[in-house]
Amino acid sequence: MNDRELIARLVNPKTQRKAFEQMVREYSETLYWKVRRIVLTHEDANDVLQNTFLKAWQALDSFHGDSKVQTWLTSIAIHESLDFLRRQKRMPTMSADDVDTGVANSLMADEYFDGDQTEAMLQEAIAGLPDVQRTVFMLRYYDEMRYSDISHMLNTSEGALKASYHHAVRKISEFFKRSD
Amino acid sequence: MTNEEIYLRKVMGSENHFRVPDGYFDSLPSQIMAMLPEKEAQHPQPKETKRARVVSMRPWLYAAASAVIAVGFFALWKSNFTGNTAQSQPQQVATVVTSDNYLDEVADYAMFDNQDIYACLTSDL
Repeated sequence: MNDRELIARLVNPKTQRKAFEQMVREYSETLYWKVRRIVLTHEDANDVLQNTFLKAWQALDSFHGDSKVQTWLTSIAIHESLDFLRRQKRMPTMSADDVDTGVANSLMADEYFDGDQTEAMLQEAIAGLPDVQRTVFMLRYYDEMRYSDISHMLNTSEGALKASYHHAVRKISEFFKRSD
Repeated sequence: MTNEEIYLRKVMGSENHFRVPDGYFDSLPSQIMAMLPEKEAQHPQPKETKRARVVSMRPWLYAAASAVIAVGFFALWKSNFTGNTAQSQPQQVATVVTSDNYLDEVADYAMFDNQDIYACLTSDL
């Protein structure tokens, strides 16, 4: 089913639920990985993804097909991920015992991460970027998303996104060079 | 692609080292659909006429007018019966509250951190 047919079925109350289920089957895995790379743990990614589809369901009436379905969903997922990161920063979860547990150590202890120490350190370097810059890096580096699509999602100019991405690349490269 | 990006792709690659529980994606759609609320049937709302709108707002208009009159009388009374209060009124000092949280949010949306800001100030960009 192409985008136009899917959208037509999504806006029709009689076919809406079935069409939404089809949309979930088609896009949930792709969205999951985008979210996971931002929030890092499986449990958090699952929560954010569920919230994403709940928001999409609630916003269906205002979706008129101005953008592709995948772009629309990805935009909601990215904003949910960023909201999650902001809430996480505001919550005092660190106890005195946790002070030295960084992202790398947490990932090495995570049963759903099978990278080595270098990979874990890379994720720590990425997690150290400002939230929006980190998101831009993830979308561009791993998903090779076009700047025009990222610009539409984050409501930021393509020039600013390119600058942000190159800063992120430079910082992470320097992180690795210092570690060598 | 810049030299740094080439270096990064050589060192990092793009392999995915995150994993999910077995069968997670198979059961995900049914989990998501189960938590979605039923959509209420939308009935067309009768259009409210302008007159009906004005009539329904009358109590609020009366309350607002009464409040304005009351404030006006109070201001008049205060100016007539209070003396020179310039010295007795507390100084109103405008305070600008900045918080680290607000600045952090600005830095996030500007996608710059302190290092970038310093680099920009010293024209290292």
